[in-house]
Amino acid sequence: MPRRSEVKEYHLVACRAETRHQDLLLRWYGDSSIQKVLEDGPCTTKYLHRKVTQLISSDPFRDGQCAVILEMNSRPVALIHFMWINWISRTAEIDFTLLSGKPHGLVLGTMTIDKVAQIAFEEFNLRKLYAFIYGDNRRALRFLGHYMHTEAVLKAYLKRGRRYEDTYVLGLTPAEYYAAVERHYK
Amino acid sequence: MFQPAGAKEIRNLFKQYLNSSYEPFFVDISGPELLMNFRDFSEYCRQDAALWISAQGETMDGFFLLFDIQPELALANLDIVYFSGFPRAGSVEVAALVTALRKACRQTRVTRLQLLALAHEKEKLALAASLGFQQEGILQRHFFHKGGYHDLIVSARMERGRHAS
Repeated sequence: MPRRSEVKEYHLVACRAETRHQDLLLRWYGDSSIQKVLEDGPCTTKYLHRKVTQLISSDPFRDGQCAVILEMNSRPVALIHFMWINWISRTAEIDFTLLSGKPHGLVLGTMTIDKVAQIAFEEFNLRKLYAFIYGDNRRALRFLGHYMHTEAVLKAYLKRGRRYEDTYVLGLTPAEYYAAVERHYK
Repeated sequence: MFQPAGAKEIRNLFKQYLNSSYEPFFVDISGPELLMNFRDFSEYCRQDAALWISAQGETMDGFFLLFDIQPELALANLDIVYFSGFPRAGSVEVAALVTALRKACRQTRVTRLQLLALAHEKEKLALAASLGFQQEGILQRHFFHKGGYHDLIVSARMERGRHAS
């Protein structure tokens, strides 16, 4: 894990995705390497346009989803997507993607998960986040394993060509998040 | 005997939903659902879903619902409710349920059925085990119901030929 001082060198600004981000989001979601880790199958252009249009017009309370762009020096560096926000159970599914560039790898990942937790637990007052991570996404499983715990392994969930892959359901509560931060940075 | 439900049966089930002491009626990972009106209830039972009911004349014994059917992944979530107690393993009712489930899966081309149950729904979990569902994990304190948070047991049943490589 990166040192806290490395993370503190940078400052991220979070803003809701809006019309000015449309082209960026289309480029992002159109990238095949991003589709591989986020989508259950190949996406059509029509599907991507509909998804992006919904994201930039969505209201977390009405639609149960919310897209947040993280910017550094006015440059977008990451996207966080809260989905299936349930205001009764106070849970949400999350995914996030990072743009390559500076800062990269673990530093940006750590900063992004800090923002995810801040928005979810300190602003939305959610009490649990969960993520579906495909079994072949080893990097995400390794990184998120520092914060989240595996709650279920869905056998043969995802179809990849003629094969099936397992999918991991990871969970995160505020207590677990703050304990992980304490563990890594004490 | 389970049969695919039509509009009339959905209307009857909605009445049962309003009057039934069985709850929670639907269990979903992103749930619970807010108290539903008929339009939302009907949509829940129809959109990407297949509802089968078991009835003796006018009286409904129970239902199962394949919902969130995802053709590209050949999977669906399953909910099963019996209003007057779940049948025991090896019973005629369970055999009838297995037959109906297989038929529903064939019709929807589903080879992985996923079931979520609250940890204290012992009868439902026992039925799931007798139907060949394997437990895959526990979503901790995931579902808010009757003033408290409950664990959800995740289990799945796969058709032969579907397994992770």
